Amino acid sequence: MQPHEYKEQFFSQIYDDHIDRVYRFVYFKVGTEDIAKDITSEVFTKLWKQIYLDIEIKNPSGFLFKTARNLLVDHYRNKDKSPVNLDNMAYMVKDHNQDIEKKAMIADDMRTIENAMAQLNDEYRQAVFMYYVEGEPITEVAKSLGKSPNNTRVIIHRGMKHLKKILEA
Amino acid sequence: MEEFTLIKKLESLKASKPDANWADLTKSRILSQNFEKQTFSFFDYLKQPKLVPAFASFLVVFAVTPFIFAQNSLPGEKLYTFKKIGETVKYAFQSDKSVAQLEQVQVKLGELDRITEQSENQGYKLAAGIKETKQALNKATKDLAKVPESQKAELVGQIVNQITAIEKKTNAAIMDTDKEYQALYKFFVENEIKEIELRQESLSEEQLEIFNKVKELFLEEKYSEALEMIYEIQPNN
Repeated sequence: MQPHEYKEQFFSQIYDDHIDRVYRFVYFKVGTEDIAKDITSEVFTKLWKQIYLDIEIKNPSGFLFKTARNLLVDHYRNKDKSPVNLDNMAYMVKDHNQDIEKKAMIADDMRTIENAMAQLNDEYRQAVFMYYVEGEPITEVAKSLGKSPNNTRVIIHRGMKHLKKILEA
Repeated sequence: MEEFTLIKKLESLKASKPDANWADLTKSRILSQNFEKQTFSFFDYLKQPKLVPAFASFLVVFAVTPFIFAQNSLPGEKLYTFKKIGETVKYAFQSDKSVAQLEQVQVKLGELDRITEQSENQGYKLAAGIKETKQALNKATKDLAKVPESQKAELVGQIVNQITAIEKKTNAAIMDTDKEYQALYKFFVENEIKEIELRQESLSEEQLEIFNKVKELFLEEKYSEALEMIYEIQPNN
């Protein structure tokens, strides 16, 4: 196998493993499918560039989320934050084997939880999202927030407390 | 709400995915992109505005210093190239190029004189100095006709005298057989003949005989020999 093919294979593996998570991460931030696609595509283009140019990536997952965050910061700098389009979210459930009732239930859950999440501050929302939705380990969430793992646990705990309060209100 | 329920609700968000076709197309599109490695370039640093004044100052100091130190250098020395560059630039700004070329010959003869005065063995410098002088003479002789008459006699006289003095000091021939320089001698000898003719009556018989020989040599275009004989007349004036 040629070195270029190895690179393509390596990229494909990371891409397949992370595309959904990165897309979701971006989508819940920008709230628009087109923008989310653009940013996600840019994130992976940056990854491919690193691989193509033989620049070592110690932690692909960390690299992807860090790049996504940076691009999101750029996005927010250029545009006002737009709220998540909740109607689109139900459409995003792509498993076509699910029946309409289940889809509606999921969509309803998503709508409720996303409404509540939108009321959290950025730090709580990011911590809770990464830990519970994306299933990132504490260390990764901590890196992403720039906090220690202990601080991150506290932030997640407080975020969940706030979220619960909002949902019960 | 139970924490378990809340976590379940949060996990439901995981169900959202991008369109599979889009994901595949995007992957193919990304993989089709090629990138070029950026090589390190010193000039990239210079693009930083902060470094421009510092680099410009460095460049000025770096460029000017050798020219300052080269002012007293002699042919055959390392810094002499810088001196020559400086002379070329200076020459470019001269209004009367033909006079400037004659003055340049004087400068070269001055350098040659300094070399002969140095006590140490400077054979290679002498050779380099003679070469430089000959080059300057070549250029000056070609444009001799353009030199204003008011300055020509004086400048040529000074040069010929300088050459004669150096040739005596070094036993090296600067003007010998090269016909290109003969225009300089021709002009000088012709001028001397005219001057001596004006006071011909004051010449002794012996001087008159030499003078007639000088004129013969001049007509035969043997200017160097004529010059040597002129010097034989003059001390007895």
